[in-house]
Amino acid sequence: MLREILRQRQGRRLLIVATLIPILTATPVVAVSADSATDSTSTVSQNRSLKQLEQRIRTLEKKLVKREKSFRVNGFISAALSSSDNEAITESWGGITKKNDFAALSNIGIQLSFSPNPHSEIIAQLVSRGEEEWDMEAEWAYISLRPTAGLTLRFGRQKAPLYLLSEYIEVGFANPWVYAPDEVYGITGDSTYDGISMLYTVPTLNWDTTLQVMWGNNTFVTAIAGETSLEDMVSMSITTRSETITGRLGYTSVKTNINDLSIPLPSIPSFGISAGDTLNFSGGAIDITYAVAGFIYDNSHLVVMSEYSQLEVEGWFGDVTGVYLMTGYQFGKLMPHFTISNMENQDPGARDVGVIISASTGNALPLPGAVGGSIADAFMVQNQTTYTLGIRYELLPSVSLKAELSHITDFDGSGGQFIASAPPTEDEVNILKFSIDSVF
Amino acid sequence: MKNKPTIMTSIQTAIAKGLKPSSLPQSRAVLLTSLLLLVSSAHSNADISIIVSTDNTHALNITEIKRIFLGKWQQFPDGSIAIPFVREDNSKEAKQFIRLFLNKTSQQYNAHWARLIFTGKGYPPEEAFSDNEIVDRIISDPSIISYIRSSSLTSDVREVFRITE
Repeated sequence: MLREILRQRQGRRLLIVATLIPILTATPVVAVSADSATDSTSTVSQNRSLKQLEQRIRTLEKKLVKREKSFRVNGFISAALSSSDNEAITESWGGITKKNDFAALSNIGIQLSFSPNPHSEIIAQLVSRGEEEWDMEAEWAYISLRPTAGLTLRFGRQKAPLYLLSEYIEVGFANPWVYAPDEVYGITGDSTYDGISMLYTVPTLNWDTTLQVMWGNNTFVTAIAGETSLEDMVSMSITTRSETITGRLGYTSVKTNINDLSIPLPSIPSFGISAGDTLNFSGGAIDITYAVAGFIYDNSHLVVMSEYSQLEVEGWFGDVTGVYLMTGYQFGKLMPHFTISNMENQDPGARDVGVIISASTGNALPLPGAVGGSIADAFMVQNQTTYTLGIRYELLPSVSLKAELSHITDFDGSGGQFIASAPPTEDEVNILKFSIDSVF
Repeated sequence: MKNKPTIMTSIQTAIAKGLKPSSLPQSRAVLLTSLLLLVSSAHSNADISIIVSTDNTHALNITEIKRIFLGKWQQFPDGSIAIPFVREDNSKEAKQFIRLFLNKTSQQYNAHWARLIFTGKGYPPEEAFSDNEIVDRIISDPSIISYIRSSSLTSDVREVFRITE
């Protein structure tokens, strides 16, 4: 659609130039023929006038092009349909919870950018998600400066480059999946922050290497801990790309302030726990670190992509490793792909800080720490493996159709990436996803 | 008495009216096609030439050219600004350039730009609508690098690479 608008604008530009030609040529040509005494002087003056006119048209055209290039509107949309065979639990990142859900993975984004000169740009990207009742949010809103080639400084709201796809994870058209692997991308969720960043790219023989460093803060709401603030988030990554290979290493550290947490428990008679008793954690400042390594091999036919991430959180939240390996092959307009992804808790049994408070007395139940810890583990430990089979079809150069079937299993008694009052009773969940994605 | 039209006059009329060979009687169309082939025998009609200004004397390798057209780097090897310029995206030339030179499907090409646009890292090159427009722009701005059909090459521009089917 945008291209059409641009083409119309381009057409208009040509039209303006075309209209200007007779207007601009009329006067001088008449003047020349009236003044000229001989044919030869007339020709010389005409040539000179024509040169001047050409020059004026070029200048006008440059001005029009400049105006056109300084303001841009781009957009993306994903209309998705997801369906889970387990209605009792909600997938925590995308919010897939019921059968035939059109909203969970759908979104639309509009990006406005204004570039007053080649060294600076102002960008606002507004995204509205079906999962959040289509409320519009500014995902990016920043000013960037490019003092020299290869160096960019950005000030304002941005996305932290936590993983390979983090910065454009919402642009369905730019990603192979309807939904990126939950075990890696779902752990941290959205990575928007307010702050500053620096990107520095060095081209060498066949590789471009980019160093990206950011510093900022953010406040967000999590299902389990409510409003949570992230402070002094520092993220560093180094990405190197050749024509077919991308390699990336990233490290992020952040301090978070988590509220006191109180989780209502079901009745567990063997420990004297009644329904309504709560499992309490004390909040406070907690250090979190992510370390990530990833690569993409893409020769336009064969795609292989993998990332490994290690999340370490102080205190009672779980330390988790996440990994995925995806491979796909482009057959004409079709790309079938297969992904295996896994997340595994690294600190089971480390939650003896949990205290169970009786709803009736308001006092802590006299239970050994190990019991509180094992009950807390049921809420904080996440394990799961997903096998995803998908296909992407190029309907039009700017429109793709995607379909995926994910089989999620190996919860090992945990809730995996699902939110539920109790871990899934069966050790498997199947989710079917379709989407139509476009950029404009 | 009317003059019986000759094949050549029909062809000239057809060309003047901007008709395609398919709109001529079949035998004439075949002849026209063979005439056109004869005219352009110096190089195949399908070839695309990547061109720069004659003032631009840099030796460019394929990797450097691809980097510029994919928005990964905006400079020629000497550090001067390089501005890529392409044909409109539904043109035969653009499709051929994307498929043969950049080795991508149209969708892979668009997805590449989506990744840059929506992370604020770049925008696709400006589009031109004819070989003449491209040659004119290169003459007036030596920082432009673009491509045209090899049959449209003139001495006003320098060919840096030729893409053959």
